[in-house]
Amino acid sequence: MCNPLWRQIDTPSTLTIELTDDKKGSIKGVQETETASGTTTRELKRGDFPLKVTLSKGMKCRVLVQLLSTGATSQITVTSSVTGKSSRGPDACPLRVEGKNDVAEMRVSASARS
Amino acid sequence: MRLQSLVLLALVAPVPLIAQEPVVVTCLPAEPVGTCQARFTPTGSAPIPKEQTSAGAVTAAASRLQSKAPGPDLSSLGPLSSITDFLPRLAAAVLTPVTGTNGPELGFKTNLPLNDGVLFRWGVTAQITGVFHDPKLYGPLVDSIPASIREASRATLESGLSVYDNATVTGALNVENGRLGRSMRPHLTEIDNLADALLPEPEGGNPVLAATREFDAFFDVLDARFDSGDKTMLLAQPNCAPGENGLIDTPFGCFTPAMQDLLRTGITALANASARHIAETSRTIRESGFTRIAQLINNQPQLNFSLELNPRRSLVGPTEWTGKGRFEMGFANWNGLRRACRAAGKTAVDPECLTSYTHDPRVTGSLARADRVFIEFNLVRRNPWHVYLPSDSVDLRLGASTTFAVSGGYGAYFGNPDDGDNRDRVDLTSKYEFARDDAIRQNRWISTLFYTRHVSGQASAQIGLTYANRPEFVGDVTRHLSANLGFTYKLNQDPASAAGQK
Repeated sequence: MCNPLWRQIDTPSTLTIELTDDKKGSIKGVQETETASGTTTRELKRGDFPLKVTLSKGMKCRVLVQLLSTGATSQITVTSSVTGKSSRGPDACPLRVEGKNDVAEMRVSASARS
Repeated sequence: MRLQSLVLLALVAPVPLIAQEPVVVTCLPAEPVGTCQARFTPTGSAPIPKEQTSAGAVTAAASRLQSKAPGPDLSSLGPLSSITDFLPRLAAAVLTPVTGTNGPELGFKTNLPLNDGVLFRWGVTAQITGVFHDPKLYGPLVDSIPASIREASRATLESGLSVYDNATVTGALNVENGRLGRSMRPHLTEIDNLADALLPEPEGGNPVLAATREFDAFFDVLDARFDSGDKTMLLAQPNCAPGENGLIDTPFGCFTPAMQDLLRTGITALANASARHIAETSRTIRESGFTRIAQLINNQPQLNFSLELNPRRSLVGPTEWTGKGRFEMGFANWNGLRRACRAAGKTAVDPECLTSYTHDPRVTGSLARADRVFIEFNLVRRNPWHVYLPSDSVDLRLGASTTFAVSGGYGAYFGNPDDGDNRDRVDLTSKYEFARDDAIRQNRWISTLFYTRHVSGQASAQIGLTYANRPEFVGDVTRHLSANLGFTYKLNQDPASAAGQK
């Protein structure tokens, strides 16, 4: 499923996001991590995947993954899951771009219990 | 307060920069809210064709016999020229029948990923091909048999031949690095960096994540209310309870009508934010020329070398080996983009020089024509050959010979680029062969100019001229205009024979 919004995750658990990359498109991502001390944003690149985020009490993590077309047809699969004290997924979201669809994106949201 | 902010988000959504169809959210009563929001939050993906879902089965069957192809044709315009595409799109299974050539053959082809960036970084990709041809008696051998016994002798001799009597084994190397080769792999980091520069994160954060934050916060409040004993958001029905993710897993129909309206509003806000983000990103990358990158890389110069060994049983012909070196390129390519950026004083490819280069009329024209040039060197060495068949009155001997050939060509499409390879094209090729130590062959020069008219589907009409330095080298043409010049008109059903490759 694309765009999962997982909530009430028991901690400690790990959010994992993997890509199957056909290396024909351009991959961009943004990770937003919200904790009691504030929100941090980090830009993600191809090399950052597989992404593993350890979820602690009250943490919220949102990841946006974009596939941009270079002109070639490109298809990747974003597989996300939560493992540990809680289990979610795995959910697989195929993203595909070609001449007409230049951009494909999906987001994963994981919120841990306070 | 969070409930109010969700409504506010939906009501004061910023005016979209690009007109889009409004999202109309309808959640099924039995559908969990989270599933509904996932369904209505667009990914922008093209639909996956049904046949691709079974591709895994095909790939698994072939994978034990092949290595991953180094890089298939990347251009969205499809195969772009008469020039042989070194990057194979298929790797056949062992002993798969190969048709469409002079006769039934068996063969295999495999790619060795010596530059996959993981196990190997050798800067080349290798390909090994083996073909077993349908064996026929050597032509000069047949001609030397007296006419009175020729057919009978031919039948007897050919009955003893097997498919292993005429084999071809080819080893080829294709250079792949940042300046040569059409693989995307050497350029991935550069392209990803370009995307980062093209689409920086906006002030105030990513709007999709911001909308997700609001939606998530709404459910924080809702779950907190439920946990504190306030269940007024739900209808008093059996099976209406929170799931493992809280109330977001509760069926939509379990909520009160007022809450359903609020949920619909929230999902709409999230969906609209996603749709806007995808549309704006799409517009930005299109306008920048980013979607031309694959074509620029596809036009990169290619340098490849091959060695072909053709061992044959003497009845089939002399054993030969062929060494080949080939260079080809399209004119508008990634190297050209780098040069343009350097000329503009940039140290790397950036969005500004990408836009400037891909909008240059000379570049757009070249990309539209998909024009390419090639030059190739061939060295063919034939071993000495002798066959003695006293019962058939054959005693034929050929000495060793060496032939060196240089060829070059230019090909281009005409017409609407959106038609891909279903367009008219012109191909000009020229070849000169130097024959040494060869009693039969003579130096020959052949030039062809062909215009291929796309008719429909795989059919094309071809019209062309062939010039040769000797009349006997003009070959099979429709009409001889002079001793050295021939005119050809033919209708092709085979796409590979378009542009005079056959």
